[in-house]
Amino acid sequence: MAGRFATLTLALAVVLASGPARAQTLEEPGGRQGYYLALGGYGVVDHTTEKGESLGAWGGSSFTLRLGQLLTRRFSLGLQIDSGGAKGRGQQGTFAGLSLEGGAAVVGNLAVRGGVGVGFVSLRDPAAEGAPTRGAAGSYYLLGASYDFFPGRTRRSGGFSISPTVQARFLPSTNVSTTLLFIGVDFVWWTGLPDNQLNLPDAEAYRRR
Amino acid sequence: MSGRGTLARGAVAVGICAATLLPSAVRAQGKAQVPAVAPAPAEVDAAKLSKAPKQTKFVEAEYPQEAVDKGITAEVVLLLDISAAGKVTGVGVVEPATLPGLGFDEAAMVAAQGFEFSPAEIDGKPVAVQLTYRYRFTLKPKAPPAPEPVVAPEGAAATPIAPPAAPKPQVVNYVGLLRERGTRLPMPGVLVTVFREIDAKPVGFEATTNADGKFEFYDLLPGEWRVLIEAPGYYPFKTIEGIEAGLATQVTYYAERASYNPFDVRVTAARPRKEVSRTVLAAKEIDKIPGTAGDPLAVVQNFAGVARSPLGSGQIVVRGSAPEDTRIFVDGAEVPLIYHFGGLRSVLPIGMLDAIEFYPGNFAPMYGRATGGIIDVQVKKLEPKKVGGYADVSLLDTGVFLEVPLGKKGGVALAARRSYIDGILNAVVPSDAPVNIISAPRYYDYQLLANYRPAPAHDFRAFLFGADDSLKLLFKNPADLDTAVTDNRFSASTSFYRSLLTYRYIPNERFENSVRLSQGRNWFDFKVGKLRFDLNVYSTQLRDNVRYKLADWISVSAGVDVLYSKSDVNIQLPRPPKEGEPMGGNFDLSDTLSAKIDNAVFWSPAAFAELELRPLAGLLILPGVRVDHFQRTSQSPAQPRLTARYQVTPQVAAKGGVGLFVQEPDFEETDKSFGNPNLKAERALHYSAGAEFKPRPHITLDGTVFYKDMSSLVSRTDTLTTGPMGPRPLVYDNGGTGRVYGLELLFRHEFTDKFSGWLAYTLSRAERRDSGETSSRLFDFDQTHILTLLGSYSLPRNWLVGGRFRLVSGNPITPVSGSVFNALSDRYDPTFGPPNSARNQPFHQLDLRVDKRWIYQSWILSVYLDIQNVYNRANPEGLNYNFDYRKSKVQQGLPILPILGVRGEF
Repeated sequence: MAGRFATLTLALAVVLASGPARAQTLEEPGGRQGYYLALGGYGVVDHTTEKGESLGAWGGSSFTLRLGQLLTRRFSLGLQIDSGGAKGRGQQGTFAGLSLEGGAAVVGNLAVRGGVGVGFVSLRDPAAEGAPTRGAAGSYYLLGASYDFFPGRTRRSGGFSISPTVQARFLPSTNVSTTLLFIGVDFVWWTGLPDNQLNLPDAEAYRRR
Repeated sequence: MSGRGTLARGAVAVGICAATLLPSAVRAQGKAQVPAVAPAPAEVDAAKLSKAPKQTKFVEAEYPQEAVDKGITAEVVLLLDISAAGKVTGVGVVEPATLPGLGFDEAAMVAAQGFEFSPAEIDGKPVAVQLTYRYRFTLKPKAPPAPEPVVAPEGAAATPIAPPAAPKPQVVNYVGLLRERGTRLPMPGVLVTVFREIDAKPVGFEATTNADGKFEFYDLLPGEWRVLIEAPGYYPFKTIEGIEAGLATQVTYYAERASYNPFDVRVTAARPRKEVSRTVLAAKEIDKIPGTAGDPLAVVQNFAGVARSPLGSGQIVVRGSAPEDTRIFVDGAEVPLIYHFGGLRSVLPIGMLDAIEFYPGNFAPMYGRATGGIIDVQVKKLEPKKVGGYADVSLLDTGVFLEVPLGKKGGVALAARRSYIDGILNAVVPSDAPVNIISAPRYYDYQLLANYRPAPAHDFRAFLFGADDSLKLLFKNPADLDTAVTDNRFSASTSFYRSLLTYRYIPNERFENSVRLSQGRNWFDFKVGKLRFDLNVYSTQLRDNVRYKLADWISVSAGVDVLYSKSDVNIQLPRPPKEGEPMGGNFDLSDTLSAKIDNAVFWSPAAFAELELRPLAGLLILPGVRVDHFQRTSQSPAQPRLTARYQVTPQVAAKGGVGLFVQEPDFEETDKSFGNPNLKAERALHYSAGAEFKPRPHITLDGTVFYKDMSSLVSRTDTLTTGPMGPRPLVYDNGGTGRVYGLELLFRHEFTDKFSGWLAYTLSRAERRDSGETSSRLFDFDQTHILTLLGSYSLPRNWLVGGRFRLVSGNPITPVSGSVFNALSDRYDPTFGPPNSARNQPFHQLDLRVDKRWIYQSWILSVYLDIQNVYNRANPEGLNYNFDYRKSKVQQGLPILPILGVRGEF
């Protein structure tokens, strides 16, 4: 199952990226342009199974750092690092991951993203003194969506956006499998494109270097 | 070539056309049509051209009248096939005019057929090339009438067109250099435009950069001028430059390429393909293959015909032959290994490589002493245009590379790399671990390459390279080790170096001679307790290869290949298990054999000859023979070989081959202590036949069926022989036989401007029959199905993504049927079922790789993330048993492994 999912992710990435704009085509200035750096805070719902048995739904929080670049007007590639914790039913869980993420703007500033990487989850029972920490490490999959609001954008290209985000993560393994649902907000800085890649009026395009 | 001076902006008039040889004239061949000539052209890197084609005759296209009437200008990008004589033999349209239906494309194609060029050359020999050519239709201003444009001299000073220039001495007052951002390479043949308004009238001038990227304007009026540089494939460069009276403005501009992917430099040239099965991968393509963590030679394991080797073994198993049956060469000189520590890294960095050539069988007579396959790593032909290099830092090691030009006739490059896994392990291994890591595992390698060509006919090359691996462990509790081990130290080290001198002389098209002399040392040292294996080998190899073209239909190649070695050996080990015998079986560490040999000298001279016959158009027949002398077996077997290739159509070729291949037994097999000094050489007959279909220049479908008949294989025997001390075991004889047969399919998309990849599938069966046995068994590495699918795709903004998926049958294993308690050794000894009668589960794995490049003015920063085993498949590599062999657990292979690397190049 996990293998098919990863293969599908790769195939989608290739298909989505198969029709990029011509390299030297100049772009109209806009908000979602250039590199992005995002810091996100989320509430987390964690559902973990251990040796096939559900441990129930836990609540928690998570922080995420995302960085990447818009490859075309629509598609992006980047890295995502996340870390967080959750607890419930007298147990605590922590998780972290590093993933490659690919995104696509569906309509306007609404973007979906998917990714794959490596992550771990560890579980412990704080009441059971000396009990060993359980957990798993392995492949880490993500699927999510966000919308970028650019409040008061003044830059010609790029700027600051506030992005409500919903994201799901899945870490399958033999003993412990975890599904995480994140809901929160990303604060994103878009660097914009350099002038030579923007379709600008001559008065702005020709400037002394 | 300089463009004609034409007004670029704001003018409408009857037209002339300007043609510009693109800066990427010998690039961007991805959409190219290959000339329909046989033999099929092979790809040659543009950097290999010793002389670029230069236009000697220009034909002006007829400007479509409708376009003149409407004042429409246009550009058409053509792809020209240029023969070795400089004639245009084919014209295609790469980028048509923006407005269709006006006749620009047709007019440009007709005109281009009349162009003539001075031929491109490689090593002084004219070659056919393809180049892209931008044909620009522009309109001359109507009023005021412009002076007739003057063709700019070489060096490309611009000619002012408007306003009319006064007859006075020309003063150059604006000089510039145009370089590519990141690489700092000069950009020749690029149009530089300056323009402004004077008295409300637009005025503009053009100049074309020369071979050094230099451009000049003269007599520009003082004031601010807008500068526009629009090179195809580059982002436009726009700036404002101030010209002051009486002063010359000097500038250097850096134009940014739209894509710095590795697939955008390519030239095609006619080079006959001779071998039945050969895979060639250029360094630019190798570098970005996923699953290799940036290692150039790890790509070998993705070729059709190569079995997947177990994790950490670094073995290369070709068409069912044992790893030691495949030879590895670096520029024709044999080397003992190409990988550090079981395949962790190769011993040569990407900066030193030109290509990897792989022959799974039926190789030419110049290669010998092997019954399996051949890997020949081609070292880079140094022609640096600038001082350049890179530093590469990954989680495993750090490497540096630097190359320096020696005028225009050569260059020097040096590189080095060192791992720091030992440092990381020392930091992370807990203090209560049962082992102390003294040096674990540490490797380094180094290379020095010098290349000098005093004249096109002479090419001198010197290459020094070497590698060193070391591993030392101290076990805290000796009781953890076998009782036969009396010490708690374990150490293993491997080191080698080679110095290689090459002289290539190609005075004309008919004659070619290559001489290679290599000298080096291999040193293997392994110690644990009283067990040791210490081998010190000094080797020298001389190879000379002459080729003479007697007539158009016949050429002859001949040469000698002499290998001399002197060895010192000190061994105290149990007899090693043979192929087909289970590891960890009756491997008694207390039952060791000893041998100490000093100054053992071995000669292995060989001579070879091959004819190249072309009796019919498209038919190539290569009969050849190689004679090796093996000192240890006192044999001089002649090995006749024949391959043939028939180009049925420009797209379809049939091929086949048959030949005898012989190699000496391993050293320990002929040693009187460990083996049988009367052994003879092993033999293999290779048969193969196949077809190639090339529907597009960059797409190849290749199918080959093969059969390998092996005889005189060294095999374990229980026979006793009589010696001076009475009867003793013969240990080995030549009673083994084997056969391998199968099918290889390759569907390859060679690198274009966006994509590179292939699908390789091998269906095969490899069997052995050991001495005295009546039935065959499977070979240790028999893998019925081997499927490899890989590709890399270049995305905008200098991203590159790639993936590799492998699906391979599990290796055969010998099942344990039970165990018997051995009171003498106080342990259980396993009993085995029929050898190799079971299999591991199939192996499958997906690897992903993402590269990102940042382009700065004079250097480039790359970061890559290579994730191996993305979906964390627990691939079985074998079984581990408990003490009495009643329970077993699957030994798992590589888990998901992300490897991050950073490279800076300048």
